Amino acid sequence: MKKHIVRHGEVVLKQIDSLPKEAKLQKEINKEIIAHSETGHHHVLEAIKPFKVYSLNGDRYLEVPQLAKLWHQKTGKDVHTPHKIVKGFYKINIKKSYNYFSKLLERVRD
Amino acid sequence: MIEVNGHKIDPQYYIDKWTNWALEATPATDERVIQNVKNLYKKAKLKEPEVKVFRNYEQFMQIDWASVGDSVRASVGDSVWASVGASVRDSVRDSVGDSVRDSVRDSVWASVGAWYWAEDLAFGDVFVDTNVLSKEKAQELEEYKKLLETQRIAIRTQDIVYVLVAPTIRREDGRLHSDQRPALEWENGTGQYYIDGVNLPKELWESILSQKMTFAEIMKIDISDQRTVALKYNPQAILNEGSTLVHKDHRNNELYLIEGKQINKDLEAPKIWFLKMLCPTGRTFIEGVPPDEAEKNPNATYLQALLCGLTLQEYLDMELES
Repeated sequence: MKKHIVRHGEVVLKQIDSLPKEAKLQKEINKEIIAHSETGHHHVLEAIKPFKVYSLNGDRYLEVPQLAKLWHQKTGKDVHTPHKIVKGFYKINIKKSYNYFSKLLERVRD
Repeated sequence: MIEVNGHKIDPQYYIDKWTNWALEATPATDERVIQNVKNLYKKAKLKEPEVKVFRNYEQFMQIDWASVGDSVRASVGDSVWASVGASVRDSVRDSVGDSVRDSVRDSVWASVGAWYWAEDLAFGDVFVDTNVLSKEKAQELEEYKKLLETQRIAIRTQDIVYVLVAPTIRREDGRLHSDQRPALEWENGTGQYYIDGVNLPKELWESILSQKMTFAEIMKIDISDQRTVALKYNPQAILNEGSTLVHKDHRNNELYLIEGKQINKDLEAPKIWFLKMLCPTGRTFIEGVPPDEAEKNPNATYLQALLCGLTLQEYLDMELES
């Protein structure tokens, strides 16, 4: 079955078959900031039924038991449209950019 | 859209309405502000507080907040909640609270970094529009609103109310913006600088508006929103560096290369590769690309996928991009 992949600004939610075995449960909640923004324009995942957030080696994973919504906490123009996130396991990717000053691949900060 | 009491409402409408309200107070003297706060507390049957009025943010933030103690959710919020029936409250409290009340709070906080009353009124407004509140209670809410006209940003404690008189706000196309003065300006002339709704340190705001920024200076900016604004107002930066368009794909990704220029010497990088992408929100972003990967496969789509942590096929399969 085709995997659900959603890009929302610098956030990419990539559906996976299962969680890595070593992933550790961090929390089970209804609302989580997926990407924090310096300017307050966070990317937020929200659901009626709580979802689980896992971590492993600095990466984050999600277990979404029921339809959830990924939305942009911003008003006015330049707002990313909300997306429905279907039930499943996901890896959270934050887009990267190569910094020619530090010579490192770094996470994009919004 | 969310459903409240059988009515469908758009949370964004209330967020915009009350965020704007919070930042655009009616001008008033200190005496008027103090009287309004006292009347508000009297109406809510609370002990008359001491009221301290501030007219610039720096002064406001010099308060030793640690000694002030916990702020209290008094007056408007409690009064509105007392008016809402328990059965309705349980079913809508979370959804309206998360989507309207919290968002108004975050939105105003992002602009002025202060507590405020607008969240309570936004909350109440939803319940008036969805007939959760009776006509009498809706009228009561209107009266509260009048008392709040002059002092919309405040920290409320048990005995003292610290009021920050709202700043002058400058907008363009609905976004905080000014290329002349702080878009959010306090009475003493200090404030916060914005271009196209993006908050900027004063020095960067001045640099961007000078339209003399170099590509290197733009790429050095950490925050992508700020980098995007800098690029928009300094389009010559890329051309001045003599960049070459290497590949353009059907998803608005463009791969550029700079080589043999002064910037290559400055950055000790014989080849500088970067992607220019038109975001579905209308903004243009530029992101650096790892040179070894670009050398291997100078394809804009492949490199965009790589930066997103996806394979080329996953990126091509991705239907939802915003």
